[in-house]
Amino acid sequence: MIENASVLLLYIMAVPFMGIIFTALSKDSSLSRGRNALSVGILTVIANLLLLWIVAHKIDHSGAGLQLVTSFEWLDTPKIELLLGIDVFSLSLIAAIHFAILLGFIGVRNNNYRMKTLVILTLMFLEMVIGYLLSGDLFSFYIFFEAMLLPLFMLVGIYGDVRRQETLSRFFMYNLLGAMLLFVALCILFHYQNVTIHDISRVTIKHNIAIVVWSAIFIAFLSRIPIWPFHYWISSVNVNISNPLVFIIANIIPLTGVYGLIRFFPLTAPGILEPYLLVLKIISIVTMIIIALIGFGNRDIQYKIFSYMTVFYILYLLGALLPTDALLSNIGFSIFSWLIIISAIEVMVAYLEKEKQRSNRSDLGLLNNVSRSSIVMSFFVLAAVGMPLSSMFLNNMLIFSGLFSYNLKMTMFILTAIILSCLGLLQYMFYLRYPSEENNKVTAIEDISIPVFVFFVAIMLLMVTSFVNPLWYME
Amino acid sequence: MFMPRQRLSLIWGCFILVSGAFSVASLAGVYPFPEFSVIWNAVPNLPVIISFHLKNISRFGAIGVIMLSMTVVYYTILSSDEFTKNKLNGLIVLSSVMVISALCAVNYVQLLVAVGVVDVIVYSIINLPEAKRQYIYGNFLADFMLLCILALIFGQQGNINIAGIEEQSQVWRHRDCIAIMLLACIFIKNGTAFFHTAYQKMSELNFARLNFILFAATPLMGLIILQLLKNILMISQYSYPLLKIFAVAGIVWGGLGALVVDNLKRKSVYLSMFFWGLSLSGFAWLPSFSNRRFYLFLIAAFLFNNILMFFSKLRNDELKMSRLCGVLQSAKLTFGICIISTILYALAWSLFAGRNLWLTSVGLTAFSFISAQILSDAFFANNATGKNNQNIRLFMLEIPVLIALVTLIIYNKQQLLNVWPYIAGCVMVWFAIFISRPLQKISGLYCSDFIQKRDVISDIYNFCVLVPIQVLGRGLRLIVDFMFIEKTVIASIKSAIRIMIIIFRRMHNDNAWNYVLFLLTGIIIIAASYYNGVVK
Repeated sequence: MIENASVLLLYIMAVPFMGIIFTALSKDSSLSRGRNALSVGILTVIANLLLLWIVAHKIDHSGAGLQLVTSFEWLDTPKIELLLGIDVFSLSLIAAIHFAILLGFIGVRNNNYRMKTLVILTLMFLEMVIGYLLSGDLFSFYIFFEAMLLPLFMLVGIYGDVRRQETLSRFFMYNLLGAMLLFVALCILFHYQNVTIHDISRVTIKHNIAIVVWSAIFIAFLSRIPIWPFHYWISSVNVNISNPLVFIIANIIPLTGVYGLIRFFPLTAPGILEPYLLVLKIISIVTMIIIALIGFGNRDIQYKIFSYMTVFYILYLLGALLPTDALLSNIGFSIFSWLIIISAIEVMVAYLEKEKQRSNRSDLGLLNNVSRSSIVMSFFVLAAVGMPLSSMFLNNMLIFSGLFSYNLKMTMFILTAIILSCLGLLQYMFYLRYPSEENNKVTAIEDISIPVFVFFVAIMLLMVTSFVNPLWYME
Repeated sequence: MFMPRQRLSLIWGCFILVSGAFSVASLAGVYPFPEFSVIWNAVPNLPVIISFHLKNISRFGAIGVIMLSMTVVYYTILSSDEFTKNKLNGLIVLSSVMVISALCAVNYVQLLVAVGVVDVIVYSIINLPEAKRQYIYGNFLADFMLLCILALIFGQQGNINIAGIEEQSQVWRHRDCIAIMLLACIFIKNGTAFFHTAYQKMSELNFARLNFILFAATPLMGLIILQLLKNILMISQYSYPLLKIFAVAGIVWGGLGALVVDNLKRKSVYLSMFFWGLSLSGFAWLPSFSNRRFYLFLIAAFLFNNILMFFSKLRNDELKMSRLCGVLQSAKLTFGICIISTILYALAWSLFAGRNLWLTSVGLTAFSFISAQILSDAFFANNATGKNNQNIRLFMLEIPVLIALVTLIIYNKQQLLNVWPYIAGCVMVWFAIFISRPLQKISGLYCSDFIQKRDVISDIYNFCVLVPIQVLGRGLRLIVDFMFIEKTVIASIKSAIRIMIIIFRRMHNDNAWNYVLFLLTGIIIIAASYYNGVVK
């Protein structure tokens, strides 16, 4: 048994790195077509999930603050100490990201295009995200926040099918700008006092500088979330990505923004930001409504998924900005299922898109006569719209409850946006299942294979068992 | 594995029937009923206890639901047009468990979960994509509204106990909003007038599935929600008037639909709307809502609806009333069963609504006209198609009606003895309507394409809700994304950067004036920074 549990976090960070080395060394011939690399990638993710399982048993689920803390003195002058730790919230997010990437790997199993690079970059991204979610000090937090852009940009550039180079550059520049703002803000904070993220409220700064610092932090995190007007660049990149794994990764990026805001706000933000928070809330709700309406009216499923994801990201953001941290675990548990569900939907959508092109058909009635795909798609869409099939159901109720207590009218708008984005998903599903005489004449597409179906059933069971508390089996 | 598929479904079906009978017996007190509570691994901030303790009031509900479900399982076993009997029977059992769970609910979470799971189960029972679509759209909205109401209440009340509503509701905010959303949720689930589109689309399901959904699943959940959360309605002055309006609308629309629609399954949907309208009116007007009598009435209504299935079976699964005329002339036993079903319905309604004479009379009159018209069409009208009845015996299908009649008589002997002169009078009036056929001309509407094929409510929803939202969505994309961001914001930033680059390039030219200009710009920036940072 592992006696020093805190070393587990280092293992969790080391495993993707080992995975990168093994993937790079794996044999890649025209015969294997990247299968070896993919197998290494899948095994790496599964190994880390097992480690997460052990971590979940080691931590106190009701405890506040970071646990299993491990630190490393990097520099004496200036004194920089790297700190890693975990709590239930970050554990849920890390587990969800692993499952999402596992689903992404399943989604790209038949791709032949530069599989080895894809797996290496994915594991690199995973490494950075884990680091970001585990970091407890300002420096490692910033380093991982910025470093994850590199694999992201390469993944989107190589596999993203983004037709306009300009859009891609804009997307990168603007994420980089956010990272630079965070760098400046953290440098100023560090200048005043060297603290961990959890103690950031203890730093006393001059009024004017505080406004600059907190605004910079705010914009840095917001730049990752598709809030108006940033949504335009993010959507123009996301909706063009046809590779499911890359789409999932690109859509994990807003999560890093939401996570950052949750870690820095609401209890630690100074009162001077109060008027700006109100402006942010108004912009967020307007964004939700606009994107939900556009998603509902749009026929492109990628945009519908983007719209759905954006609406929920903003919901979690607004939940996190409430003047309480009591909802933190609820947000974490809801995101756990939500991320897995949306990843599963994206994998299915990519599969159907491929089959559609292969059989030269339209979307209409594509799911007819393919029972396995139909079951999987129906389950995940129903879970996504909030039927009691996953931990989203009750945890979302509590988030709504918190929002209602805060402001009824604002919450009504939020709910309208959620309803519209969910209806958009339902609309698409029934379009795929639409029966017509014309569809009976064309040949049915090929159904997902039995092993893949079994994998999806396992994920469905995970969702159902997560119904109330995704970590119940770890307590 | 070694058994023919048909026999396996028969054995599975019989097993369910025996289990159902055992459950009913234990609920009736013959055997002890296993009651239990489960403390669920709590959601953070929300301790949940799932309880299966049946109070007396919910005990009758549980008996009624199990009996209804068992009847559907029984019909499924006998049905020749049902190809996935095992799956259907399994789903029926699951649905019944969840309905009972809702009946036992002591907190919002248990109720909410039961409502949601029943929706998912019914979604699986519906095997038509279009009906699935309409159903899930409507019920997704209803569930969402319920979730929001309960979230809103939880935010103010601080706990999830249903029992505490009455005392704590006095201090709630947004009362009208809560009450109206709750009513909207109940109306969608009930499928009352203006909210019935989803059920209309189900009119191609087979009879067993259709009647199960109409009587033992989602609409029943609507009524259970109403019963459990009735105290919430008290907090708004609008709730009872609204409830009454929609109850009457359900009775009128359902009754008219049952008279003029030709398709037997659509007729069945309208009859159920009529029934739920009566039930809602009972809830709105009666001084107290008797659970025992309501569930008896529910079973009676379900059995009456099944007579349409008998008609169809007798004529080789024909679904048009206009083609079934005279179907009962050569099926005397079935005719007798239909009469018994009608009497059963009327008796159950009289027992349920008996404390309000005015309501009882209105309900009885409306039902008499509807049932007499349907049965007289099936008995007297000319057989225009010239088709004869199939040589089949429906005795097995008719057994539940006889069992229900015997049960009703045994358990309500005293009340029936008190009111028998009225019952006799009603039966005579009914026969007078049946023979004289005052609404005979309505049968002419069976040929009207507008009435038989047009779905006006769907058209209104599409035209007034869906199309504007879609147009708005597309317009917003054009205006916000393309015109505003792309053509205005980005284009302006691009132009500004271009101008600045041009200016700076010129300033770097090898010219003395540019040198001075460059220096001056620097001095201005330093002065501005100094003024802002130090002086100000």
